[in-house]
Amino acid sequence: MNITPLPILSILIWFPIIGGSLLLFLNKEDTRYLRFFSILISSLTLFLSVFILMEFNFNLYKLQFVEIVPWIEDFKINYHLAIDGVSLLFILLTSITTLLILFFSLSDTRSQENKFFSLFLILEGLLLGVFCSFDSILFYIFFESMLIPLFLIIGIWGGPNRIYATIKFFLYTLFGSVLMLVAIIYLSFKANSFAIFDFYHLNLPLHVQIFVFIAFLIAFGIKIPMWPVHTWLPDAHVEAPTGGSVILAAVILKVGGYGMIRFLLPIATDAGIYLYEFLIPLSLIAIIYISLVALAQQDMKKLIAYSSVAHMGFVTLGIFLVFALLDQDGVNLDIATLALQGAIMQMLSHGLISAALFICIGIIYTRTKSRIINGQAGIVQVMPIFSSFMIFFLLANSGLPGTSGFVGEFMVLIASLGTNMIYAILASLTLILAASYSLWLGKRVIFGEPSRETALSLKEINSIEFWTLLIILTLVLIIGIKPNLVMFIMHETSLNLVHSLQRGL
Amino acid sequence: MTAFYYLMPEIIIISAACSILILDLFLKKSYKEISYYLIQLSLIISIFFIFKNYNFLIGLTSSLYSTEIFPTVFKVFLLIGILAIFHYSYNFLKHFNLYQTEYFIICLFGVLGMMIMSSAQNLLLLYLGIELLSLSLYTIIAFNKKSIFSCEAAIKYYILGAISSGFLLFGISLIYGLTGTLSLVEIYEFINNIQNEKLNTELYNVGLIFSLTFILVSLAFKFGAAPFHMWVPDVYHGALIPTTLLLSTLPKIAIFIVLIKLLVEAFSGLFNFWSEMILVLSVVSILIGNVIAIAQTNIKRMLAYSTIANIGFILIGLSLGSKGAYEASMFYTLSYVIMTMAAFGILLLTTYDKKAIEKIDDLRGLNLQHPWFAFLLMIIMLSLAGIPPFIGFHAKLFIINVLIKANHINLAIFVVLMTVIGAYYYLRVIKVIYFDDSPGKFFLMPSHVLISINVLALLVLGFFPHRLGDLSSYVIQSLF
Repeated sequence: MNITPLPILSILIWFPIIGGSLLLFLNKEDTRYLRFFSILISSLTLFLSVFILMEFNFNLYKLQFVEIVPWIEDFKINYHLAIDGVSLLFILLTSITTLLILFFSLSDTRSQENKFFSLFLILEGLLLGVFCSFDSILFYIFFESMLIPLFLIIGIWGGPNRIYATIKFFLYTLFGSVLMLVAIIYLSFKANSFAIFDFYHLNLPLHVQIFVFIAFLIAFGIKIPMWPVHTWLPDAHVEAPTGGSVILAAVILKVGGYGMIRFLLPIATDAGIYLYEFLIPLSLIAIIYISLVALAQQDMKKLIAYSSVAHMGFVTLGIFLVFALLDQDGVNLDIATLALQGAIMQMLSHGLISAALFICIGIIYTRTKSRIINGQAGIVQVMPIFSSFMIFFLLANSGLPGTSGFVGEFMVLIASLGTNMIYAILASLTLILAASYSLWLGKRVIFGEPSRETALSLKEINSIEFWTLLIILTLVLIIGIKPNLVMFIMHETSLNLVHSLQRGL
Repeated sequence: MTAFYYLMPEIIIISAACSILILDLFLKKSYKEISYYLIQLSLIISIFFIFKNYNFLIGLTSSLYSTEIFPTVFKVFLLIGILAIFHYSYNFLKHFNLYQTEYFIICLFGVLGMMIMSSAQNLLLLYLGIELLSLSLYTIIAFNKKSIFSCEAAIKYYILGAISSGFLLFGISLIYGLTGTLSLVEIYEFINNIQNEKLNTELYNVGLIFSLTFILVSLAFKFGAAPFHMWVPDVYHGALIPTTLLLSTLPKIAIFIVLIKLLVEAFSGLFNFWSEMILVLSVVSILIGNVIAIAQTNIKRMLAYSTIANIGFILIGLSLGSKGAYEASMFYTLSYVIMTMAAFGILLLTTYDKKAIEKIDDLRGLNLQHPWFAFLLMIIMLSLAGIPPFIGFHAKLFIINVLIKANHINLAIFVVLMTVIGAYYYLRVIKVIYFDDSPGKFFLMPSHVLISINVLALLVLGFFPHRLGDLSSYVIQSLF
C-alpha cells in the first residue's frame, strides 16, 4: 500500500471542520470577511480533492493514501482513512457541491449568517469523513454526526413546518443507523476487528447474513431513501432552505448508496442473493409508483423530492441487480459490473441535476415567495436565461441522451435486460414517467401567460446565480457526452469489487 | 500511627466540616463567604493529600476499611466533582440570596458518607456510610423550606428512604445470621466454601439470595432504578437545582461502588442468581425512563427520567459479569456523571426572567441571546442522546459491545431502539433553544470557564475516549 508521508485525507476532512468552527467566532456584524473566508475554505478543500485526484493511481484497485493510527486500542478501533476509486468520486462530488452551495448562498442574506456558513463547512468535512473511513466505527461516527449540522440547518433556516420535518428526519435516520451499529458490533465480534475489509472475509451462515443484511438495508435504505421508508425526504426537502435541500439531495442521499456498495454487497452477498427477488420489486415500486406520486404534486420542491426517490430507485435497482446476476448460471460478471457502475453513475448524475433543480426552485422562490406550481406561469417571458437553464435541467432529469441523466439509467436498464425482461420493461417506464412529470412541471411553470404580479416581481438571475447554474450545466454535459472520464476513475475498483463477490461464492 | 495517613482525606474532611461549622457562627453576615472558601480549600487539601501519598496510600486492607486503587480513584473523582458542584451551587445560592454555610457543611458530611461507602469492607460500616449520605441528602432537599414542593420532596424521600434503609438492615442481619460475619471478604469465602463443598448448598443459597434481595432492593431504591424510582422525579423537581445537581451525580458513583463491591466481590459466587435480578431492573429502568421522559414539560423531571434510563444502562454492564462489562459499566458511570454535572450546571447558571429554569420552554431562544451557552447545552443534550462524536456515544457503544459479546443480541436491539426514543426528548431541548424565539430575558451567572471546561470535556473525551477507558480498566483490573 502506498502510504503518503503527509496525512492528506486527514487534512481534507479536518480542514473544513476546523475552519468552519472558527468562522463561528468571526464578527457577526460584518459579513464580508465571513463570506470571503467560507468561500476560501471550501475552494481550498476542492483544490485538495482535485490534488488527490491528480495523485491517484487509476490502475490500482487497492486502497490509496492509507492512514492508520490506533485509536481505541482495547477494542481494536483504528483511525483508518483511505480512498479507492468509488470514494474518490464522492469526495469530488461533495467538495464541488459544497462550494457551489456556499457560492450560491452569497446571492441572498439571512439571519445568523456565520452559523449558516460554518454548519455547511462542518457538514462537508463530516461527509468527506464518511467517504474516507475504512474503519466501521469511524464510518459510523461520521455517518451519524453529520445528522447534527443538517438538523440545525433545516431547523433554523427552514420553512414554516421546519420543526416537524427536521425532527422527523433526525429520528428516522437515527433509527436506521442504530440497527447498523448493532450489526457492525456483531460483525466485529466475529471478525475480531473493526476494519471494514476484515468483514469481507467472514464466512457467516445464511441466517446470520440475513440479519446483518436487514440491519444494513434499513440503515442505508432509509438514507437513500427506498420505498416505503422515504416519507421523511419530501418533508425535509420542502422545509429545508435551498442550500440544505441541495446538499441533502446531492450528497447525503448518496451516502446511503455508498454504504450499500461498501457494506451490503461484499459482506452479506449470500443474503442478498437469497433476498433479491423481494428487493428488486421494492426498487421498481420506487421507480414507478413514486414517479406517479411526483406527477400529482402541487409543490415544486416536493415534486423534485419525489423525483429524487424515483431516481434513487434506479440506484438500488442497479445494486440489487448485481445479486440477481450473481445468482444466474454462468455468471456474467461484465453485466454485473455494468449494473454497479450504472448505479454509481446514476448517483453522481442525480447529485448534479437535483442540485441544479433545487437551486432553480430556490431562485423562483426568492422572487415569488411561493413554490406552488399553479401560482406561477410564464416565467420565460421575464427570465429567458433562467428558463433555458431550468428547461435544460428538467430534460436532464428525464434522462435526455447527451446529459448525464441518460448514462446511469441506460447502463442500469441494459443490466436489467441481461437479467430479466420483466424488470427491464418495468424499469424503462421511467423514461416516460420522468419525462412526463419533468416536462409538465416546465410547461406549467416556465411557459404560459404570466400574471401581472409575477411579471413585476420577477427579475432576471444575477451573475452569482448564473455562474452556479452554468458550472453545473457544464458538468452535466461533460459527463453526458464523455462518461468515460468518470468510468475511468471507478473502473478498477468496481471491477475488483464484483470479481471478489463472485470468488466468495 | 501510620494508620492515620491512610485515613487522612477523611480526617481532613470531617475536621474541616466540624471546625468551619463553629467558625461560621462567629463570622458576620457579610464575611460568611470566608467559610465557603475554607470549605473549598479543605477539599483541595484533601485531593492534594491523596495525590501526594498515592503510592503510600494504596495497600491498607483490613476487614473494616480499604484504601486500595479502586476506592482511591473514586475518592479523587468524588472530591473533584464536589469541588465543581460547590462552585456552581455557590453562585446560584448567592444569586438568589439563599446562601448559608450550613448547606455546604451538610454536603461535606454527605461527601464523607460517600468516601466511607467507597472504602468500607464491612456491611455495618457500609450501612453507616449510606445513612450518613442519606441523612445529609434529606436535609438539603428540605433546604428551601419556603417552597411546598421542596418540603413534599423531602418528606417523600425521607419516608421512602427510611423504609429502604430498613430493608438494607434487615438484609444485613439475615446475612449475619447465615454466615456469622459482616466482613465482605469473609462472606466471599463463606459462599465459595459452600459452593465447593456442596453441603446444604440449596438451603444456604435460598437464605443468601433471600437476604441479598433485600439489600438489592434497598440499593436499587437509592440508585433510582425502576421500579423503585418513584421518588426520583418528585425529588429532582422539588429540590433546588444545586441539590438536584448533587443528588443526580456523586451518590450514583458511590452506589455504583457499593454494588460492585457487594456483587462482584462478596457475592460473586451467587452470580447466576443476582445477574437476572439486575438485568430485569435495568431493562425496566431503560424502558420506563425513556418512555415517560417524553411526556415531561419540566426539564428537571425530564432529566430525572433520563437519569433512570441511564441507571438502566449502568446496571446492564453489572449484570453481565465479565471484566469487560464492568469496565463498560464504570466508563458509563463516569461519563454519565460528567454529562449530568454539565447539564445541571448549565441550568443552574442560567436564569430566565430572574427565576431559575423550571420548564423546558423557559429555555426558548437561548441561542439568540447567549449563543455560547446554547452551544454548550446542545453538546450536552447530544451527548446524553448518545450521538457521536461525544462521550455519551462511546459509553453506549461500549455497553452495546459487551451486550453483543455476551450474546444478548435481542437486548442490544432493544437498547438501541430505546436510544432512538430517548433522542426525541433530548432533541426537543435543542429545538427549543435553537428554533424558537424568546419573549423574556436570560441572565447568566459567572463561572463560565468551569462550565465550558466541563462541557468541552464531553467533546474532548469523545475524541479520546481511551483516556477514560484506560482508567476504568485499570481500576477494574485491580479488583481481580
